[in-house]
Amino acid sequence: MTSPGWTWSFLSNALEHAILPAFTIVLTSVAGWMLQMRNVMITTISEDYVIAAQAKGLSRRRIIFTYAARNALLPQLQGFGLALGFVVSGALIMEIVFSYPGIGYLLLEAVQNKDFPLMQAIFLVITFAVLVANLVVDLIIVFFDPRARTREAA
Amino acid sequence: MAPILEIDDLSVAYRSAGGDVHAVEHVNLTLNAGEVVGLCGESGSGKSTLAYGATRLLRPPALITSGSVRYRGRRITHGGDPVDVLTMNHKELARIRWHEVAIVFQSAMNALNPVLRVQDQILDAITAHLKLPKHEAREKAATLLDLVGIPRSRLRAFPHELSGGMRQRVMIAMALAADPEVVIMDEPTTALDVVVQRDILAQIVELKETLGFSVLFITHDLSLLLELADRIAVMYAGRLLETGSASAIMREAAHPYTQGLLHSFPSLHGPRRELVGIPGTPPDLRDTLPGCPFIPRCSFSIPACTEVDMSLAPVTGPPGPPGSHLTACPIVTPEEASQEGVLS
Amino acid sequence: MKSLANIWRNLPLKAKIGVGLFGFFVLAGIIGPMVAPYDPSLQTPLTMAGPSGQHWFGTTQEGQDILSQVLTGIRLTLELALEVGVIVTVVSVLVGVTSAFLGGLWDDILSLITNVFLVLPPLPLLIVLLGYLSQQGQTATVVVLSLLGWPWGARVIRAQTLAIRGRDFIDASRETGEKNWRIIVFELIPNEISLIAASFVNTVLYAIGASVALAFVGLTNVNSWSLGTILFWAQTDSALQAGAWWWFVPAGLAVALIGTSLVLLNSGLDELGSPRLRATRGTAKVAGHKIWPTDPTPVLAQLQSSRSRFGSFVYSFSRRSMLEGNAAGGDL
Repeated sequence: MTSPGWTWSFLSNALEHAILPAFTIVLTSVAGWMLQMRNVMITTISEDYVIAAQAKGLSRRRIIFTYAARNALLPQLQGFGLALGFVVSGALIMEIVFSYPGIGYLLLEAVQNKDFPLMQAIFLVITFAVLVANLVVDLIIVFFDPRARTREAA
Repeated sequence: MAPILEIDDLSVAYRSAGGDVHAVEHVNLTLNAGEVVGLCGESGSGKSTLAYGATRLLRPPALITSGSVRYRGRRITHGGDPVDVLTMNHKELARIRWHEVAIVFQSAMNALNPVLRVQDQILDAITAHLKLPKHEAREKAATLLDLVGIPRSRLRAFPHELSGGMRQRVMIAMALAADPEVVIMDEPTTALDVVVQRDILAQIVELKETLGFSVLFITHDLSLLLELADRIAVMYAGRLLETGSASAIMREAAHPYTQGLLHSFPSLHGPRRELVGIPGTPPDLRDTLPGCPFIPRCSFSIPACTEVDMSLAPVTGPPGPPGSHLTACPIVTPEEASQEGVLS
Repeated sequence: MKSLANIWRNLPLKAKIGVGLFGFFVLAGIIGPMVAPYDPSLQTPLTMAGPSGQHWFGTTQEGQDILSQVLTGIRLTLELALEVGVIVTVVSVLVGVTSAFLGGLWDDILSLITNVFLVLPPLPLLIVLLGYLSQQGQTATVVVLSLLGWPWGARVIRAQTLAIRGRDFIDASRETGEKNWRIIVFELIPNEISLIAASFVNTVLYAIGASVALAFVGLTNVNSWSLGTILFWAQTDSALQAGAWWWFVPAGLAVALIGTSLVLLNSGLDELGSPRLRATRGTAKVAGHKIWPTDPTPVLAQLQSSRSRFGSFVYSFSRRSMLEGNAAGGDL
């Protein structure tokens, strides 16, 4: 059992044990995002600029990726911001099932031991991480959607 | 001289569980090289459907139920037989689109990709059809903007940063990017104010003279076509009612519908008169009644109107060479000589 | 009634399956505890036994009948989820519609509250709240879940109400002097029914997931038999290691199937509400052929010729080909 720290032995150990829980989370979450993207794509494909792209005789690849998908991504990004925040709050159930000592597990123990200071600290960290994640996503949105750049100036 | 684009007996329907909606019914239309043909009709008359159907850009449940669209551009046919757009596969269509037949869409705000710069969108059109090295393509894009009167600094702009008139000019520049033979313009100035409209139309005429393409101009504004077009075709409820030169139609419109259209806008010269609209509403395109679709709103209809087969026949009387002014109205063409319906 | 029958007919197959599946579980929830063979807490000496004629789903380590537990669990879980669903939907509609309709200061205040609740990560908050609350019964869970579930729906409904509010018929109602609340109830809300229904289904889904998660972790009353509690005990008594699959599989499967049925139901509602999704649904069938939206417009003559000779012969006897005006027997 390696002691926690910024050492390679610890990090690699953590990563190795994280493979299964991470895989489970990905497997169960991917479908939701796929369905949402599909729905948004269906709406986007009937937009005039996609028809215009077809009229221009562009390759299918160009139409699907640069014209349709890049626009379909934008509403998804909003949800991504919130999801990112929740990721940081710890996939509690996964951690319990896989006995992975993450922050969710720690919070659970704190609650069970009525360790209030620890609970407060964890909660502060989590909320802070959620806010940072939201900020990062807002910046990403500005990068991807040129219309968002000028909205403030308008 | 053979026409460059020949739409022959084209019918387009929208399939639905409740039956077919016949958006376009057996329309014949020809476009000669270097001429401007105006396609006139009210909303829902099928004029846009005709244009998009001819280039096969309509989305399901649209279905082309009859006809052929023959194109005779030299680059594709090399002086040989015309190609039928309706029999082409995906690859051939991609080659003919934009490079031969380009479209200027109605709403430029919607037809431009909001996340791409103007330069990239024009470059897309250029690189898809012309094999130019990068810097030459960029120079061509800049030249195109010069052609339509937009400062080159606008190349790096996004669509939402441009004004309405500028966006429409960008659309026109983009349409000319691959040196097309035919440009279809779908109500390009409807959403703009009259001053900008005039500028853009003047620009179009100038470009046409310089570059030598043919124009199919779709609009509901007949007064515009009387000034702009060489020949005019009038559509109603998916059917072609009348075709002829602009002067012929202006001086003696044959079909009652065309006459109604002419009387519904005031003229700049001449005495003031009361504006008369056309009473009634366009028909439901699901049930096609026999004969002329305009009967319910026509004040001249006779019982024989229900039996006419809507093929175009020459209008009797002067002026113009015989066979150039055609209409489907049986009252004006008592001699129902069945003909090809092809304008020469 | 006729419109209901119409709605049913237009639902895609997956939504019908969802409705059927969910209906099955609702039925099980209603009659389950009454037809359960044993009391779920009754301990028998037959411990850790596999499925048999006596115990269809086997027994736990204390010899309790798992089938009875699952039947009771379905009812409790569904009850809780539906309660939360109703409360959350009512609150989110109230907040969303009010803030969008009244605008101004009201909108600012309500949006602020909504956003604050939205940003707070739910699971840790749930854990902490339940840890603080001394009473851990069903009511506490319902309250806590509702408190954390309403912001999502409120935000979506507010956005939709803003869009509808700008439309002319609302202004027209205002002009004729209709009272505000009447406009809200009779004009606004009927236009958002599908959105509200989808929000309700989503909330129920979330409530099921969250309540099972909480029970699994042991934060709710471990003596009341919800589906999550069954899984909690299975985990605590090391069912997996003992190879007692019959313990957690039925409960887990029930949760998964209820969730699936709700998702299927929701997809049907989605398509009902958004005509564009209904109209395109990905591939469309035109003249018997599947056409992608990005394909060139099909030409009837080409479609027909792509059928084989035998295919055309068979097709010529169909009713559809009669509508197209082809003689039976085709070209033969």
